[in-house]
Amino acid sequence: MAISHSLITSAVSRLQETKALELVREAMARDQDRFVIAEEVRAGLEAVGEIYNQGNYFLADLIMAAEIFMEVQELVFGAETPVEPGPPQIIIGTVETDIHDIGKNITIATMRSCGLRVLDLGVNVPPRVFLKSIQDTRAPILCLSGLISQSYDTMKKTVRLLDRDSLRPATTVIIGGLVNEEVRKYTGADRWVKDCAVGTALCKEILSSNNRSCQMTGS
Amino acid sequence: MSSIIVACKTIHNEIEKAIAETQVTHPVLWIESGLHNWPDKLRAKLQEQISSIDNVEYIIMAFGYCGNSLLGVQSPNAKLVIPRVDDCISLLLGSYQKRQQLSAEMGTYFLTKGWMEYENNILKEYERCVVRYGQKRAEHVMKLMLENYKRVVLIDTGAYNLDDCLGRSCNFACMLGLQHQVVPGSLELLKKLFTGPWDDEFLVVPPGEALTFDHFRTDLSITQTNTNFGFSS
Repeated sequence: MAISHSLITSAVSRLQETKALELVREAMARDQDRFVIAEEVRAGLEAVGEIYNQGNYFLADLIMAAEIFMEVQELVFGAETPVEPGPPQIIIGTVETDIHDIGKNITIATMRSCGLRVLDLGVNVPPRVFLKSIQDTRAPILCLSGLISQSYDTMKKTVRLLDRDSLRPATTVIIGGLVNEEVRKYTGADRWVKDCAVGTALCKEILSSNNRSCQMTGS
Repeated sequence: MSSIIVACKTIHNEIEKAIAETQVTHPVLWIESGLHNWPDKLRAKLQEQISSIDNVEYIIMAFGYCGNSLLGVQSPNAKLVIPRVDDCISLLLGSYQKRQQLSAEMGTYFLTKGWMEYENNILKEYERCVVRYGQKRAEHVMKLMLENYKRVVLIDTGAYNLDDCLGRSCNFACMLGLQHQVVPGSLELLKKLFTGPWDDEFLVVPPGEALTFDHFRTDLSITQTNTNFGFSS
């Protein structure tokens, strides 16, 4: 079983679409746990991200990996989703002035594969739309994505708008894309990430820490 | 006043034309292309090259902010001169304002001959994808990559023969159902960078001072319109 799973991870990391899907079908035919299969594919997706960061894969390869990942999700879970129903835990969007959404979309796919409930607001999203969405859903995490330098100003405006709202203390703002600590300080966001796997792990950590606080306060 | 130009190989056609037209005699230190997608690597490369220069008064950077690539860069001995633009697209269009105007019209993917030759541009990525994943898959991936783009703009900088790349650029736009347009560029900003005067369109950073986010801040309440690239104060 372990051999089959590592083969799946390896096929995904090598971007061998047909082979990866074939291995997934074989694993399903052997009644292997579908969550384990999905995890092996996710590990492959993560490996692709690492190879990209080393400069050995390109943007199109990241998209290809996400495509394989989504095909497997469809194959393994069908119309079902590994995400439990409920209000969104994460609001995400590419901020106004920017239309880049590849990283955002891959991040969303990764988050959903980990069972997180994500509401995608799309691209070129104005600050007031983010605010309204937080007010409507009370999602505890707001992810602002941007790849161009001009997007930092919109991120900053969004955080400032949120600062004036009573929900700000209960909302963790994470910026992603072409960002770093200086950009985080400038925008007033709480955290920054450049990697979808790291971002997903961070969201899980925040949500679980929120849960622990709720349990402790009995709320 | 001794100066050296540090420039990206991707815009070498335009740099050489601007040098010829201004008749400046500054030597040029070329930075390899292809680091555009990895700002941390580009920053390290720039710093390594800048640190090796010790016999000039000014280092003229033919670079824009380039996705945080300049953050932290410093020259131990010379003053750094940097155009206040987001990246080389604005440099080749002549101003940050012109780039903003074109981008505001619709999602635009910019190309020049240099971009088609050197950087890992979208055309190269497409051709690589066809080999690796096949035609159908490659087209699908490209459509996802450019989902929010509406137009390909080939910048006619006057520094290269347009016919050399017009066909490729047009075919690519057509394949993806994008509009295609040739837009005249301008080398005036590059020429001013080489000759001065270094007015508010440029940053002049003293030796030993590292570039920070604050260098690129603009008080929008004074300027009203964002003519130069910068972040609001």
